[in-house]
Amino acid sequence: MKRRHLALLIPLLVFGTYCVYAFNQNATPYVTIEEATQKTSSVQVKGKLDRNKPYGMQADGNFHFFLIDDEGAETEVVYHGLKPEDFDKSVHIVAIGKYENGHIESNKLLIKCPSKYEGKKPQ
Amino acid sequence: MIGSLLLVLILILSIVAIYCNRHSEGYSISKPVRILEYAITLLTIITSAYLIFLFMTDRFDYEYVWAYSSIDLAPVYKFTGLWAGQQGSFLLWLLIHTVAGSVLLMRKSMNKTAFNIYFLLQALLVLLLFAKNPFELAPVVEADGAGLNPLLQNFWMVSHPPLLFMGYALLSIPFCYALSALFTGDYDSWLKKARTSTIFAWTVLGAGIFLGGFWAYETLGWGGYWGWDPVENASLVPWLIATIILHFQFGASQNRGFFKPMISASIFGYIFVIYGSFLTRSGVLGDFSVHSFSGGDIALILGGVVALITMLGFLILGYKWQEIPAGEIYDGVSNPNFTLVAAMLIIVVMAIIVTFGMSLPFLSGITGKGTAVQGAFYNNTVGPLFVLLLVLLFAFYIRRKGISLASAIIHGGVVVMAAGIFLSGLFATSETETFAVNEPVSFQGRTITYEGIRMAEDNSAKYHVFDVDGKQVEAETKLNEHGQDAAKAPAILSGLTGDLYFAPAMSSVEAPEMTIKRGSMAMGDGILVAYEKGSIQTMSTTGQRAAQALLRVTDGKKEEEVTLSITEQNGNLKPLPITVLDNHFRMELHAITGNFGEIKVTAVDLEKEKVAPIQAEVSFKPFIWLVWTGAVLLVIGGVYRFIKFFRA
Repeated sequence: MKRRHLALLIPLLVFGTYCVYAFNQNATPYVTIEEATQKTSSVQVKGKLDRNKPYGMQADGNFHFFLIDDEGAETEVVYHGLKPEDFDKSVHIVAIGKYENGHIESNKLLIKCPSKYEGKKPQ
Repeated sequence: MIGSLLLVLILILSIVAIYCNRHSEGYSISKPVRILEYAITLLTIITSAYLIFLFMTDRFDYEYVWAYSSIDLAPVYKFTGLWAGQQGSFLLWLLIHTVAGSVLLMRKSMNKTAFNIYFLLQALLVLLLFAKNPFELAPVVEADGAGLNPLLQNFWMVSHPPLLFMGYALLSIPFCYALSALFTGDYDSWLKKARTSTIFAWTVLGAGIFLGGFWAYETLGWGGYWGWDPVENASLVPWLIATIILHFQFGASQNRGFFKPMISASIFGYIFVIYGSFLTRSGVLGDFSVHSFSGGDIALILGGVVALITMLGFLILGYKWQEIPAGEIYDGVSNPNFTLVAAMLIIVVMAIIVTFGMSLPFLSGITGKGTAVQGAFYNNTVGPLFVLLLVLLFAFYIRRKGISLASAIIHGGVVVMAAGIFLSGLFATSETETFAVNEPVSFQGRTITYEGIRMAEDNSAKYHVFDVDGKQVEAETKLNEHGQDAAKAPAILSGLTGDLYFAPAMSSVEAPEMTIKRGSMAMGDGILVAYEKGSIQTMSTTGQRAAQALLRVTDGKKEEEVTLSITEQNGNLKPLPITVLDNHFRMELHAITGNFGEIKVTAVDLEKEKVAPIQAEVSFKPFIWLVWTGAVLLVIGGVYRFIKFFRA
């Protein structure tokens, strides 16, 4: 019995190592735009849409827009997908992706909409 | 006021019930306790009915009603207001808890100790309701409510949340059985009863999760049925643990060695129900989830309840560990029980991985800004484990004789669902295509033609119509009362080999802004607009103040007098668009300046919008119907097993 349990330990260790690897591949820490420019791995950046700059689908088939973070820094985001629902109404946006070639290449956006449906009443 | 008083009464009576319970003996619960719990149940039903009544009568002086309803909301969604938001859903949870309590009393299903714990949990639920009170009055009374999110206005909203909360509430029952066994040392009298309630909880929780997945796929257009979102994960972990409880209960019915893992799993089950609620309802994950739940004081109270229940469970489990029946579960690898234990260990590892992933933003957020993991992490770790689980399932079935029909249906369902998950997940293809009206596009051997937009007869929705090799499918976009896009659903063409899935982007035709001085006119794209006068008005429906402009418009065929409005909301100007000239144009007032001297308006030609090119995400998901088939089999098997147990 004891030796058998020991034999179980090896695949468990292998799988554990694999999980750590999978985790490192897919972990996305929250960072500011400035920190994002220093990193080569995937991150998530929270900010507001710059409504004074144009945003929309471009010829490359991606959705482009400019994001301003809480520190006031700004970056372009190239989202590999269609313009998300409720994008125009967004209060803030979380872009998940990598900083490359002067912009964030994003595969996922979290759009947070105004309080209308969240039950927060304006005072 | 009445609502809050009722809640206070329910809390007091729950505590009194525990006090009176000292006169009970074993399974015979003293009469006052029974009467008290029946009364509590009745009071909770009245409280819930009262909240629904407030929704039905548009009582926007209650903040919760204001936030999730509006005058013109369909009655069925006013009814579902009971669980539309956090406050109400805790009340629904309490309602299910008390009704189940009464049923357990009537059937004499639990002993005195188990009921004491059950009443304690009941009191804790009421405490949560005080932190998130649905009967809180609004600081400002408004004439109309904020309205229910159009995404929630469908059949799934009626069915998915109640099933989920029923599952959560009922997982308290195995928890109570387990703790009561530890306290009393009685490990024999309750196992059958616990199995009956656990299979029921497992089935409804599973059904709730599956409906949620189908909702995401079919209506919300999230592309898939499962996104590893924290809210989804928080429901998956308790369900996985419930699965483990069921298997160890089965084991314990034949081998006393199973009692230790079964008791432990039963305790963990409810801990993770509450922990999941803490993560998803306290607001700690606000920046990491597509679901929006705002937090507040509830975080502290929910955290406290998690800590309390965890400590209670762990302390008693640790203290009584040696007294739990023990025995050898398997004598060697060839014993079917070895396979069973190995399979359950794999599910434990799955639950740990998912718990780790969903907790990470919160745990890492304590010291820094937080880190999340993306869906691929779960797919790449849980996926291989699932394959291993299927191998063990086959191994177990080969060795074991006398499989019950219910078990065959459920495990058959798991295999069918697994086939669907892997086929549709690994072999899905997806592309972003641009469609011009009536210009065929070929996609994987199919010819797809976009036929433009069709309007619903009452203008409540528009449909993007696609033709796929002669078959038509439509993607519905619900419109609000101003003709703007409100909720978008995908178009799905289902077939034997899989689903063709269209998620169109919001189509928008740009219209130039016209600046018009009072008394003059301007030419737009196919429309002539004359500005006559402006004013400030109070809207009759909402009581909001609005700036209005009186215009005369014509498209050459027809002439019409229209009033455009713009209101202020949260400091932002909000135009209220209207459609004019027989739905030919949608007009919007953007600004009114200089003592009503000048306005800025846009007029979108809706006829042009109907034939404008659109972009859509087109994907093919092979054999995804196997996922739904598997889910249905799981639920059928669960219901069948429950009926069998119930009759026995």
